[in-house]
Formats: sequence, structure tokens, C-alpha cells
Amino acid sequence: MLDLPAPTQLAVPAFVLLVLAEMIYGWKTGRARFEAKDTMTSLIMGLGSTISGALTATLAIGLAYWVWATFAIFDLGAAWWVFVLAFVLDDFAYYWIHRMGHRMRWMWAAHVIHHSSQHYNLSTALRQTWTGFFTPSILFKMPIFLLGIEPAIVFFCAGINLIYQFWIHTEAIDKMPRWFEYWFNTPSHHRVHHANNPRYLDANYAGVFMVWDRMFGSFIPEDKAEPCRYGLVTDLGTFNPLRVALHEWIGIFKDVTQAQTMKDRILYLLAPPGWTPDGSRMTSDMIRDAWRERTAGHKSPKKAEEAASTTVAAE
Amino acid sequence: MDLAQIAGSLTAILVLSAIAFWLFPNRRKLSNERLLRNVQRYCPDVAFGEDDLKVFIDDKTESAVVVFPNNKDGLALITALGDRVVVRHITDPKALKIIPSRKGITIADADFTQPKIKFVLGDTEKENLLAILNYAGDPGDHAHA
Repeated sequence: MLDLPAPTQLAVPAFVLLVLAEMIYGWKTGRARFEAKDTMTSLIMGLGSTISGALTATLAIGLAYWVWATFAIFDLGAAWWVFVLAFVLDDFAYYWIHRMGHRMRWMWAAHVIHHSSQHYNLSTALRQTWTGFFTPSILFKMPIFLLGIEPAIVFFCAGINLIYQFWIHTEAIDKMPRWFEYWFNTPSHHRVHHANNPRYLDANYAGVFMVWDRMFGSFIPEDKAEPCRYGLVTDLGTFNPLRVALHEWIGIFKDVTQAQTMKDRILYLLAPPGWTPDGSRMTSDMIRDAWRERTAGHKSPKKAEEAASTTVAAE
Repeated sequence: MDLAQIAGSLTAILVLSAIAFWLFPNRRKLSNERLLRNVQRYCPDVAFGEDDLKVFIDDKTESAVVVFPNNKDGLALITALGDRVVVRHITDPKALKIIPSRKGITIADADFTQPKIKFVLGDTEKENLLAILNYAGDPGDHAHA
């Protein structure tokens, strides 16, 4: 078994210093904003995520190694190009894990934590799940192990990928050079991903390479005319870390236990967040459709613009 | 991850939060205008004019209740969360648990993400809020009340 460092653990001191730097920059320029309780919640969620990750790592690593040792088609070794290939394939797997993390309620229950802040700054990057292990996300990486890339390399690349994603959680950077914006995930693209404006919902799932969103039709560019408003469609009314970590799981439990049929129970897990048998709640598709109808319903372009901006002006 | 790392992380969390508190003090208040903008955002399909609403704001806890003119639209519970505003649209006000106490009124909902909203009120304000909540729970058509 290859002995590679855990990049995210090594990066923690840099994360702390960069959050501090962004705070000071935001205080001086007004281009970044923090709120003490929100920041504390994000950082506590980050610490909890590290602890829960450490507690469940043995099982995840064990499963990955068992699949690799038992079923791998090739033995690709540990040459430099294997690391490059692993990074690209892991980023591709991340795209689908992340996409399903928004489109399947079971996976959303873990990922929703990351979107639960109404602020968007570097501390938001650290607001991570405590319950990722209880989702099927590891299955999306199985093809990489089956191909013959040793799991340690894949986990190492996943760590680098997460470190990359830290710096894009900021309003302090407007746009990167055009070529960079085309190929890579940037603060601008990721602001759209974190926005709850109806027109921005369910977009820009990329980790590092933006090309996946462009290929699979989920790319939406940031529009200066509609500034991003961050958070959930229905924001949390609490900073309590336990409620933040578990609220969607509790919601699923209630729905599944009260469902009338087995089909409904399964769909409460596998359908998009907001799905109900009677349509009494709204999925992101329904929210977007309703917003389009409202916007189209205003006859003059000025009124349509006003209707669109009601979602962004409020805070 | 060992105990020293956890202790170091907790220290960093406290220091960063304290710096955020110091550099970004929350001076925003739950004004009527801010409240209505957020109610409109959370309840986009509810038609209302500002004058049709019954609004109750508690400045101490920065919590509010807005009762919509049409009975079927119910009410909105609003609370400031740090420097942001969170709204819950309650279509069935009777499902809310209203708990009066010596210090005010607590409104509890079966909502894990916002279980309670507290209002710190004097006797007259308490009566006013209870009247608004009773009005919201009244099956009559508010638009013609």
C-alpha cells in the first residue's frame, strides 16, 4: 500500500491563515463579508467533518482496496502519469458525485450542509458534511479502482481536488483570465453553484475542470445583472451544528416512515430534494419553472427584470 | 487526528469567530422594508399589498409575524439569523403551538430547521400578537374582514 500524505490535513494551517486574510481584506475593502456565528458554524462543521472522516476512513479505504486488489483489470503502478490520469478521472467522478448530491435526496442529505450558509466566503468552503460515509458516493469511484489505479493515489488526488476548491469560495475575486474561466472552476462559476436564485439552481457541479459542466449541459455563467444570493431555497433558521448536520436526514426519516407505499419510500430517497407524491413541495425544477412563468407573466421587460430581481434584492 | 489537533482546531475556530465578530459587527435591524422584501422572496406566489398585511415586529428578538390578507395564504414567521433573514411560510397557522409565558410568547413549529421563534413582550404587546395570531387562525376570509 502506497504511503501518501493526506493533503487536506497538511493544508489546515493554510486554510486558517487564508480565512483570516480574507476577513482582513473584506474589512478593509468591503469585498468579503463574514458573520461571527455563521463563521463559527462553518468551522465547527469543518472540524466535525474531519473527525467523522477519520472515524469512517478505515472502512472506505478497506472497501476500495478490496475492489482494487480483487477486480482491477490492469496494474497501472504509480508512475507520474498515473497520478495525472487519477486526478482527471477522480475529478470526473467528483462531478457526478456532486451532481447526484444535488439531484438525489439521499446524497443531498449529506451535501446540503455545505450549502447551508447564507454567506459565501472561505469559511464556507470548510462547512462540510459529517455524514458523507452514509451515502453511496464511493461507488462513483469504483471504475477508477477497477481500471487499476491504486486507491491511495485516488484518495491523494481527491485531497488535492478539495484543496483546489477552497480558494473558489470567495467574493473577493471577481473573474480570472478568460482562458482560465473556460477550463477551470473559478470563484465566479462556484458562486453560481452556491446561489439560490431560481435561474442559478443546480448548475456548475465541477470540482476542478469546468469542462464536465460544459459537456453535460449544467454550465451557467454568472450574470452581473443578477447577483448571487447564497444559501438554501429554504434557509435554515438555526446555527446549531447538530441541526445543520442532520436536518435533511431527519426530514427523510419522517417522510419515509409516513409514506403510504414502498414506491414513495424509495422515491423519497432517490428522487430530487423537494419531491413529494402529491407535489406539495417544490423541487428545483419546479422552482425554476415557476420563476420562469412569473418572469414571463410580466409584460414589459422592465417589470420582468423587477420580478427576476426580487430573489436577489432580499437579504 | 489526535487530541492536540482537535484542541488546536477549536482554538483556531474561537479566534477566527471572535475576529469576525469584531471586524463585522451586526448592525442591521429587521426593518419593515427588509422584512417585506424577504417575505416576498419566500412567498413569491402570495399576492399582497403592503397595506393589506398585519405585521408584528419584536425589535428585541428581531422576530416578526406577517399575516396575509387571504385566509388560505396563512402567515409568515420571520426571524433574523445573524445578519440575514429567514422566513417560514405557514399555510396552516392552527398547526403552530403558541406558548405564552411571563416574558413573552414562543411560537413552536414542527420544523427541525427552525423549531421555535421567541418574542420578548410586555402585556399589551403580548395581547396584540395573540390577536394577530388568532386572526390568522380564524377561518373567515381576511380579504373581506
